[in-house]
Amino acid sequence: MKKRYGAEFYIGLSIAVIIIAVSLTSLFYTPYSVTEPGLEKFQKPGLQHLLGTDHLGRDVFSRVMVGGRYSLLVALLTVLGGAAIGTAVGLAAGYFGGIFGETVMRVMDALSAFPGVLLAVVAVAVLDSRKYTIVIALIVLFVPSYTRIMRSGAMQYRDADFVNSLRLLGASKKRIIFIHILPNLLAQLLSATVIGLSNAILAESSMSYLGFGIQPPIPSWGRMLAESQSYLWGAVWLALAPGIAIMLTVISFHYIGEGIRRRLGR
Amino acid sequence: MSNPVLELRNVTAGYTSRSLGIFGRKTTRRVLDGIDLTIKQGGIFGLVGGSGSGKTTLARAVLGFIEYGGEIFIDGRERSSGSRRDFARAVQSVFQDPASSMDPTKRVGFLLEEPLVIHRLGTKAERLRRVDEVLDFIGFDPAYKKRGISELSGGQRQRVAIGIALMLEPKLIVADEPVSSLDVSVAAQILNVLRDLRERLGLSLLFISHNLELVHYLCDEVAVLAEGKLAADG
Repeated sequence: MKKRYGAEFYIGLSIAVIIIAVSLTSLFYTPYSVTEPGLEKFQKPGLQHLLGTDHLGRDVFSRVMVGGRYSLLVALLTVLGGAAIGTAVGLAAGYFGGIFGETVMRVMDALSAFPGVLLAVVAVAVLDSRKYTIVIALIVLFVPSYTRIMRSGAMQYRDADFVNSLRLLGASKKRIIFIHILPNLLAQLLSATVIGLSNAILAESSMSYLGFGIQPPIPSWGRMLAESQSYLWGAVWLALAPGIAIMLTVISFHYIGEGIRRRLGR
Repeated sequence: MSNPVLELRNVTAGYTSRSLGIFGRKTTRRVLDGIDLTIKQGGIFGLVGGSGSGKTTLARAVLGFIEYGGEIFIDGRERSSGSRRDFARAVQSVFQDPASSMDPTKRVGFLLEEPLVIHRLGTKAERLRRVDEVLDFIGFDPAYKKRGISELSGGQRQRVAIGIALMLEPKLIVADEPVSSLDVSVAAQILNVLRDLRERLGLSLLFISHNLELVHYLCDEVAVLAEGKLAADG
């Protein structure tokens, strides 16, 4: 009998849908400009400005909307890039195994051991601080986890009867790996991808907080947190707004990922 | 006179292992020792033996999954002279466990058509016609093409596995304990399908089992494998 997703999954899904909808709305509508200052500074949250205004007189709710868009986009690109590369490398490492598989995994160990911040610094230095440089640094950080998941999955199937049966039919390695082994691992990949989104949001926020993410004046949640720290005592809403947005997003994706994992019994 | 479909001459095979991973001493355990065996066109040859007697090793050598000593001729060609792909249209196999011998994410129609796709045989319409023919042979309605493998019972899956093995019209099918994981009534259906392979299609069959009664029921010739040697034959 298939297991249920559980209540947490639906709670997570509802929160995620609201956050994504609000972020996407910012593509064509924000209550105020997010880059042009001019409003009264440090207005407390109220009816006119739902989450108040910041130190330059910009509407915080509008910035949270647009910031969400960038934070989610960076997280999505990171997870898609990490999952695509990690899947290809992990499947090859697991299927072929031997010295090739071991070498790949030691490279992944080395990448995992590399401090993320240092990698971001290197990426920004080498590639220039363009809008999405951070995505490349984050993809490099995310590849090892997907490689490990897919490698162990491929190892589980490489000697399965159905794979031997395909070899006997003369199927190519590419066909066996991508048409047969990969679909058997999609459930694990899906759950890892959704949980990866929550980790990517956190990583993007950390990098932006340190100044390596999306560059000003475009807002991102991490950068909004960084900018708010000088005003923590006088205008706590500046930190709470992006902080709560990050927290809710991370929790929602985590709940969705856990729900999928539970449903699939893995 | 036609060539035998399968001929084994003084075949030996074994497994090598190391005691301490890649640094340990290599030890080789010989599992098959000087096997001679011939299966004629349309013959059903039963190979019986207990656990560890070397039955599956023999099947794996014939199917090209392990290296061996001696000579194995399939349809007149030495097995080691070509890849598994080269021999795909000469020999196919039906494995023991129908639950694990087919990709559970696929549909029956996809799996039956796949051997033809792999070998780039026929147009789409011709391939689908062949799928329907084989479905009919294994006793399924064409509507079964759309069924997922996970929706089928053990016996139905084993019939589909036989169907997949038939798609390339091989000369020989190696069936390694094909009914040992099925209950008696389902096993009887599968045995009838296997017998039909010879009667309607003229295929040869190497039927491997630990059950002497089954082998006597189905096969023209029987050999007993014990400790890697053919102990009795007739």
